[in-house]
Amino acid sequence: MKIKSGYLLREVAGSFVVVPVGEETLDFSGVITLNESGAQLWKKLEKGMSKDDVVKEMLSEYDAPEDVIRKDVDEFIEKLTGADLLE
Amino acid sequence: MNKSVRLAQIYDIMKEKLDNGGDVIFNPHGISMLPILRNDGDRVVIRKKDGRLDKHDMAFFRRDNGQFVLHRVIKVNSDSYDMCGDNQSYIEKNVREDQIIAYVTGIYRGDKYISCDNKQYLLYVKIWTKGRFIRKIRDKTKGLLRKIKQKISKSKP
Repeated sequence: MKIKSGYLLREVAGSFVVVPVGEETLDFSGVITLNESGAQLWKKLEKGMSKDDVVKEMLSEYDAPEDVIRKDVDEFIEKLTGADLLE
Repeated sequence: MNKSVRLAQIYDIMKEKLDNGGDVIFNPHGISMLPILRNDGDRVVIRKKDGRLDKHDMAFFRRDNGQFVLHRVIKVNSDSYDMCGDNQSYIEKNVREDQIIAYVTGIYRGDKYISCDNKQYLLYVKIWTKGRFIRKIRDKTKGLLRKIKQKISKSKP
């Protein structure tokens, strides 16, 4: 599982913005904002990590039970899949 | 995830792209550029212009209060511009060169692309900009009606 190429994650004034980037064009009409944990998930998926590995890493980074983290990761992946952002 | 982003949040990224000679696409909001720009999903393509803007260019600029504006150049002055929205009669005078961010090269309405070099578009601009006096009458009538309504509501016991 990996984020499709052609997207740029940038931190802007405390929030994170994902922007589709063409070679010559920056299209803000498809812009997505993420909170900090969303951005962390994005970075992990960008590297092509598996869902289980993402959950494992999130468990070591966040003080939350595994079922809560797994549910959040599932929801995030579902949203990215719905927006056709995953390979 | 949220799709609504304020222009102020993304301005730095936008400026970086424009400074490198690229194009930027975004959804403008508001009704001041009706009928050419609708508030329901129209997208504009903007680019930095080499040299000065021309009369009738749609300019994307920033007011000193930080507000981003997309209006049309109706007069090119020696070191500034006079701007007016296509749906407005009020002229914003002396917008400085350093306030100009970019100009519109085209519009996407759904999948349809309208270039600002398109003959029909240029004809629209020519005709529409001449109709500012009609919008002035409309705006004055609206103001007058508002005043009458206020007087009536005040005089009611």
